[in-house]
Amino acid sequence: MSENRDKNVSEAETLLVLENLRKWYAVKSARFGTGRSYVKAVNDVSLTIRRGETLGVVGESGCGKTTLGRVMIRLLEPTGGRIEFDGRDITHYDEKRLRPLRKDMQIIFQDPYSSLDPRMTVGDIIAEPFVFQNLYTQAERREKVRELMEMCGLDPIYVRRYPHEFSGGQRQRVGIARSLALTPKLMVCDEPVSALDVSIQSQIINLLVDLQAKVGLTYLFISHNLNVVYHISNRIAVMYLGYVVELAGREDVYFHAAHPYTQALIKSIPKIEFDAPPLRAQLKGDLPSPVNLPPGCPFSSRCPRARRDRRRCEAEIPLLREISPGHHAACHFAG
Amino acid sequence: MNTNLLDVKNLCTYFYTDEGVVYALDGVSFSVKKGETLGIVGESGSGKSVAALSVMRLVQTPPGKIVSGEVLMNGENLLKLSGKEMRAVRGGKIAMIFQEPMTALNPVYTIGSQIMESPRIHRGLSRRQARRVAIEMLEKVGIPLPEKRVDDYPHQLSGGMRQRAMIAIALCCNPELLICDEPTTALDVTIQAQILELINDLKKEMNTSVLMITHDLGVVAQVSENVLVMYASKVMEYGGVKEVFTDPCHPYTKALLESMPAVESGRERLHVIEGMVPSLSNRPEGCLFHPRCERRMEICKTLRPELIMAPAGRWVRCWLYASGPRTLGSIERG
Repeated sequence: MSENRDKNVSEAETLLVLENLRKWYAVKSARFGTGRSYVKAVNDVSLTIRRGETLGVVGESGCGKTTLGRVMIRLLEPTGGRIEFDGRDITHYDEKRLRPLRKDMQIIFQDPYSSLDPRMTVGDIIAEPFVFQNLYTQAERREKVRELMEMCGLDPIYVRRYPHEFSGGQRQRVGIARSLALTPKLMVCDEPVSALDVSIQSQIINLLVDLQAKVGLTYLFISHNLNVVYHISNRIAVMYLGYVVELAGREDVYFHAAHPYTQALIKSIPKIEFDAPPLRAQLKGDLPSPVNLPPGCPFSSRCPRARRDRRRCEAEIPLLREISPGHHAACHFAG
Repeated sequence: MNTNLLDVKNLCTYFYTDEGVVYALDGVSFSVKKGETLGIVGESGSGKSVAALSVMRLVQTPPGKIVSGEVLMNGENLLKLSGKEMRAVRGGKIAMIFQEPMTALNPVYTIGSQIMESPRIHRGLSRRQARRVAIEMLEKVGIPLPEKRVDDYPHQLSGGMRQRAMIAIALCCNPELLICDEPTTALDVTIQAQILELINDLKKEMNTSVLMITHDLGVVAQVSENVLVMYASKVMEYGGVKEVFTDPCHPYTKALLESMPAVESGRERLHVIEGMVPSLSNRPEGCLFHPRCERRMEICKTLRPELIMAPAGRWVRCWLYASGPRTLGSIERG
């Protein structure tokens, strides 16, 4: 289903292009004279996001998915590579030139408790983007806030209340209303439902799906929960240690995963199934430190497949290549 | 004959706060057989963690208080024990694993000295003997180079390794009951699979009973034989995990299962439970779930249902099944 949708998308509908995007953080070197070392959070990520689609990003903690989301909309300075948003190269835009673009790029944060200012009323929080962008009169702003609250399933009579008076799910709705205020083109959703209970989670997911249909949003949906990502995405990018190791339509990622890491990730989900064999650990060991990436394939230290040709996996970084139409994987042995 | 290791009967734990009484646990009963894993699932505020703390008698008093009920372990009521006797139970017969290994471990002591603590207290081992136990345990939980790791501090270990160390601490006195409070919630899926496998293997090896508290229905399905579904301080449904999850009786259990994004079904919209979990200090009249229930009837708004044996052969707290009520006085499950 999603594959067909992918094929029909032409160049003109591309909203965002990333080319070899890289974000490294300098850390103090362990010993004097050994030179600088870096936390390599995002490594050579190239992908495109099409207008109106949802691109899911999954990976375990420390895989660089949050950093990718933030660099992409220039909340962080990229270390290398190129970002093209809506036909413009914004890689080196300064704050002044970014300001008008912020209208088009918004973000929803994970924690609805720390991402809302506790001393502002909900109405002021939602109206704040208008203040920054100098839009509308006071009366118009009030009207807009009312509309946004209704759209996000909040009763407008709560406009003067403070965040602490709301539950987690409602706060997340406030965060969504604030991000929607400027009718952005691209919305980065950074684990928007991870802090919520299952029954509230489904309310927020449905809201995001409805808003996308209504406003024509494009989402980058970051989550560690594969089931949630599968549900909401058209395509999914799987990240490991800062690299995108697989990128494909959601069905391909889920049912025909080509990268051994994706396969392990999917088999690790505890399922409500009683006839299938019990859950077994798929991978041994932990994520290597992103400071000292193994040479060669980042996954080689834990990969069950690397035994086949250890020397190649440990020496040569596999490139993300198309193994079947629309299905990309970064493994020497994929496809 | 009673083959149950643990029998919790009608346990009530309330918290007396300035805003009023918080009914955190209200008439909860369950039992755990030797070698069995019982899963307790529920959303935040359902009382599942308070249930665990009440069994361990670790509820902070004040404001909390175990108001009534019995916690029978091998027939002995833990609530009647003196403080000193209870200390011999904690860490000895019952051990607990917490959600966040970084905050549960003491950062200024080595892993080894934290493991050694309970064998020295409960089994009266010498320093040297306890150290040997610590190394053995680290090996058992799959920490590489245990002779070296025993002298590491918690911050030197990764999240998964810390949780393994916590399990080593919990199991080093060979407890009869292991309480796991969201043991894998802070971990990544691939690490979670490792830890669940480890808990399962050790449980079989040592014939320990496990109380697995989690909000993740998938985790419960994978590790437990029976499941207790809690909502707003009360048990809603209680029975075999396969039966409850494949054919839920209670509308809450049903809605919870349906609201999970499942890959197989491929629905475009998720099932939604409207509204939110009620405040435990201001609970609704009647059935606690009725304001959110799709199948509510008139009676649900005014009268609290009892936990009764449904025709499907499991305990359900719902008026839909209330023909010929048999209340849960003493648990004797078939």
